[in-house]
Amino acid sequence: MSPSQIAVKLRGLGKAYASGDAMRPVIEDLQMEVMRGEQVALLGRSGSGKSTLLNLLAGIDAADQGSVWVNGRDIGGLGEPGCTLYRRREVGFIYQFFNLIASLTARENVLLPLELLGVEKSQARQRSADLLEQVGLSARADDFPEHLSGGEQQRVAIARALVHRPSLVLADEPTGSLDADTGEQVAELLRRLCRDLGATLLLVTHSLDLAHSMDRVLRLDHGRLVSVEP
Amino acid sequence: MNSLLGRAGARYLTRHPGLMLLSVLGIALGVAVSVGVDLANESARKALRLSVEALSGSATHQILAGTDGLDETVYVRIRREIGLREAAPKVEATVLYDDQALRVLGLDWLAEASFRDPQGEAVPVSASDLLNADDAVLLTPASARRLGLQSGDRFSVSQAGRVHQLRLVGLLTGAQADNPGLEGVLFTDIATAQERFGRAGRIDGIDLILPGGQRGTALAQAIAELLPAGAELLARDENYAALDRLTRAFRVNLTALGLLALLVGMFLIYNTMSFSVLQRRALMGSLRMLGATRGQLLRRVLLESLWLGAAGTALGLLLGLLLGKGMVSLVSRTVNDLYFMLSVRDFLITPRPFLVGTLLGLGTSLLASLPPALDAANTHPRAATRRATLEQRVHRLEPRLAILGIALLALAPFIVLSAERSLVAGLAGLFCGIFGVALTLPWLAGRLSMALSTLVSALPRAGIWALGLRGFARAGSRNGVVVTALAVAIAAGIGVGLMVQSFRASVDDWLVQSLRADIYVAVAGPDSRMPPLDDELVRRLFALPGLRTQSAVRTLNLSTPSGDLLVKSMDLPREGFAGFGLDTDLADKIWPRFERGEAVLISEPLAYRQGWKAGDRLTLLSPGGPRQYPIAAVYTDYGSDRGVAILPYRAYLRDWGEAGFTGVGLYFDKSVNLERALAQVRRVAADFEGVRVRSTAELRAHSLEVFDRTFTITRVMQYQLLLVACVGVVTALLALELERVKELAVLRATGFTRVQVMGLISTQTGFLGLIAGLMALPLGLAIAWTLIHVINRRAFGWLLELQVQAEPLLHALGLAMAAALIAGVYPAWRMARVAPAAALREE
Ligand SMILES: Nc1ncnc2c1ncn2[C@@H]1O[C@H](COP(=O)(O)OP(=O)(O)OP(=O)(O)O)[C@@H](O)[C@H]1O
Ligand SMILES: [Mg+2]
Repeated sequence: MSPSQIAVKLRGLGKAYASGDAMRPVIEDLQMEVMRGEQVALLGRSGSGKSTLLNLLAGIDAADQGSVWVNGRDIGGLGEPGCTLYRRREVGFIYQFFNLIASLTARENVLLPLELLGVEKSQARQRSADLLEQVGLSARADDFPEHLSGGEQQRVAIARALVHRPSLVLADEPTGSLDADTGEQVAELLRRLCRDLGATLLLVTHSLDLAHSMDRVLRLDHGRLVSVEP
Repeated sequence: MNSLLGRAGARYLTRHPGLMLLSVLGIALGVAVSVGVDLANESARKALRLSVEALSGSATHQILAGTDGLDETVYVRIRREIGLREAAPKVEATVLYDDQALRVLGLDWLAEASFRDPQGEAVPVSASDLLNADDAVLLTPASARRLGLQSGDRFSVSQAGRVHQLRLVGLLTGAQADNPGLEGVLFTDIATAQERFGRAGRIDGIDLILPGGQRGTALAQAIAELLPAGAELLARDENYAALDRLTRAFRVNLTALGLLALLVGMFLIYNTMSFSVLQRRALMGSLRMLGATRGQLLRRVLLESLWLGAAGTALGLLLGLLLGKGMVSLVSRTVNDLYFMLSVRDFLITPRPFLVGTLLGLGTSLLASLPPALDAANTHPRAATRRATLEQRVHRLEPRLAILGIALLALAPFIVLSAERSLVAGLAGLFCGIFGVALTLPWLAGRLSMALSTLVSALPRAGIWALGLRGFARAGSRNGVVVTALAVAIAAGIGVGLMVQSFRASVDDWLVQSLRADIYVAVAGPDSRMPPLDDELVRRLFALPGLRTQSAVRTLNLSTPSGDLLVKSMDLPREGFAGFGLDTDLADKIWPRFERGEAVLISEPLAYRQGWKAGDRLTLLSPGGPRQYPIAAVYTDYGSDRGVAILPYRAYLRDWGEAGFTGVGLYFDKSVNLERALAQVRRVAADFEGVRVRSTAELRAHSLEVFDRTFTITRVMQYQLLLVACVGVVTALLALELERVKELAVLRATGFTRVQVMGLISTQTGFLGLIAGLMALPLGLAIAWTLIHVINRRAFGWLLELQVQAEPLLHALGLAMAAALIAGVYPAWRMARVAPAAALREE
């Protein structure tokens, strides 16, 4: 595979957290490559370091060893302002608990990343309307998050994560607080939108069904990645 | 550009209207108090300026004479020999009308035209009416209305025991008619004033219009050479500046109190903003996740607080206007009592306090929100996913602020000492110290509440109390800020209270010690230009039966090479001399010299101001030329902050050649019934108008009354300060409520009754007050010490002893707890009403 097709490349990645006096490694000597547009599921027991890995990829946590390359760039070398801009331009993040801005409407939540990027107003409005349409929430655009159901909130969160056309979408248990049916719909929506965008998707989940609907499944176990065959 | 971020912030605030309004109110009150007092000060100051200006018309210069005035020939010589046509003589006197002091201004209406009214329309009556009648006076329409007089009315005024019938022949018209500076001024012809008010052949001053440039300087020099000793030529501004300087210390002290209120208000903004940032940590994290930069978050928080600050400032300016209007009478009264008879009574609004208030309001809001804004900017993106409760977050900022505070505290003495006599340096140091302590208090309060609550919760069966206290401890850092605001307000109260009390005690001691005679008879009137008592009255008083001995005084304004000086020329018996409170050996040594008229005493403030000490020489300009008197001792005198010199009457008689007393003290035999003696003295005095008879007890009571009046404004400000702090407590508790709604809902769901919830909250607020009170005690004592030994000394030159009594301290402690408890009522009520189900569903 040619280098330009590699979206994410981890080399000898290591991360440890202090526990008591000692340092407890959470991630050790991790190697991984993810292709552009590939959709990868990440499994693992609770506490195995899945969220930690996503944080490293989003540049909100720094690796102790090794390096994280995204689209050919070493995230570790970006520094704080660089990481902020990197997230702003290239990353979309989806959380288990939605984390919508409570004081902004659904539409405004989706507009926010575009505004941060300085996208021209009418264009931004068009794009966010499109995405709300695609997640099926055009009718609820002016509602505040507290008036939306969990599934609806998560769909707004997906629209917000994708509206600025990130190349890398990170989702940490996006269906974790939804019922099975809703979860399935939301996951399906996320996969479809990512595919349309050509964005790479890394998705943490505890659901084997969801995991196996992805292109590839990896399991994080004692700090190492193991491939899981269907 | 940040319109969505801005909208998110604005909506957050409008969703918590109580919190927002209270912090707006906090800053508003802070601004209001400081603007109010500033307005009152500036108004009094402008009144002073207007009074001075109005009394001098369009004169550029004035010749001011001492107590005795000038010979009128000086005026003639200025016109003839120097050839200055634009010179107008005047005679001034103070008279009493119905117990109100009025200023009499006798003018030469012909010479006056160019000074007061170029069109000559100021005088509505024919000049001959004024010139020919020896009882004709004019008033401004406003004064006439206030005094209830109408054109044509006859009325009587009194001065130094003589009654004068006057006739209001008309009201001033034209440009001068509504000059507020002429309020309470009786205009009359100069000859009338001379004749009526015992100034025959003499004038009190000359108004001059001197040209600018070299010619003006030359003229001024020629005139100065022509002046006798004791008279001086002053540019009008110099005259005003001298008076302005006198009242400055008083104003500066009030301004300082106003700023303190703002400091307390600042803690409120800090509290609100840091709470709002804390509460929005997850949101800030999400924003960081989305790619908002640190700078964007920093600006956002600063902008939010700037909006709150702007709203608070706007409201504060409005409230300040009302407050200023209320306080100006208090300020003017003190200025009147202590310094200068202001003829202006109106509230004069000047723009400066508003400008300063706006800058201070916005500035403090920004400064106070800087720490929380930095905090917001440093939010880690991970905060978005952390569900940690807010209380668990330790304020990393607090220890840092505490260190900064300690540094400021250490710096404070150096600021105080940087300029040995500067009042402003003293106050700046005091403020620096208070601010330093205020920065360390949140940290300290956090520690203290934690320690106390572990102590309490260790008690068996601590129950609801322990629960309340533990909740208090967990909210430690934010409680700390409120505790600080309350503690600073209470401490300022303790400090000022103790200072006033110590001051009052010193004044009272001094009164008891210095009032040696049994009965005092004096000219009624406020200033030292009063002519002496009628000789006949004095003769009759001194002939009263049972009189053991007597003292007499003539109060004068005499000139020294360095300006005017209040001088009391005294004729004292040996026992009266003891009233100076000198130690016995020294008194024995000085007495013979004093009796011979060879030594003077000076008061403590005079010594401080001029840097004079015993052994130096005091130079007074007598009609026969400068005379030097050795200063025998410095004595305590709280009568005047300008300072007083005591000149033996014998010396005055010898060097000025004038007799007459403005007051006498009567010492009766032990066997005499003082009640009866007092009645007898009153009977004698009744034959003379404008004479005041007071027993020692009455005089003491009156003096203390004036003292208390002077400090009314201080007390009023103390309570304003406390009010600001109370708003702070309410704000903080409401903030706490928002944070703990869930916890309380769980408690309610588990079976807590409303009353129990309210009990819980009240425990916490009571505790908050207790800690604030405890911390306020040492701070208050330190403030009192500084006020007495640094501020008062520098402002007024007085040496006082700090007298600490338990009562004001306990009072302050109680006040702190009461304030906290009262402020807690509303939040407690609200929290008790939280519907468990709704609160649990929220989020
Ligand atoms: N900031 C931190 N400080 C200390 N330890 C941390 C920190 N973040 C994570 N850890 C620890 O690292 C380990 C991995 O945490 P992580 O959140 O990555 O697990 P996870 O795989 O996402 O688990 P879950 O499925 O429960 O979300 C855990 O033991 C956690 O306690
Ligand atoms: Mg996780």
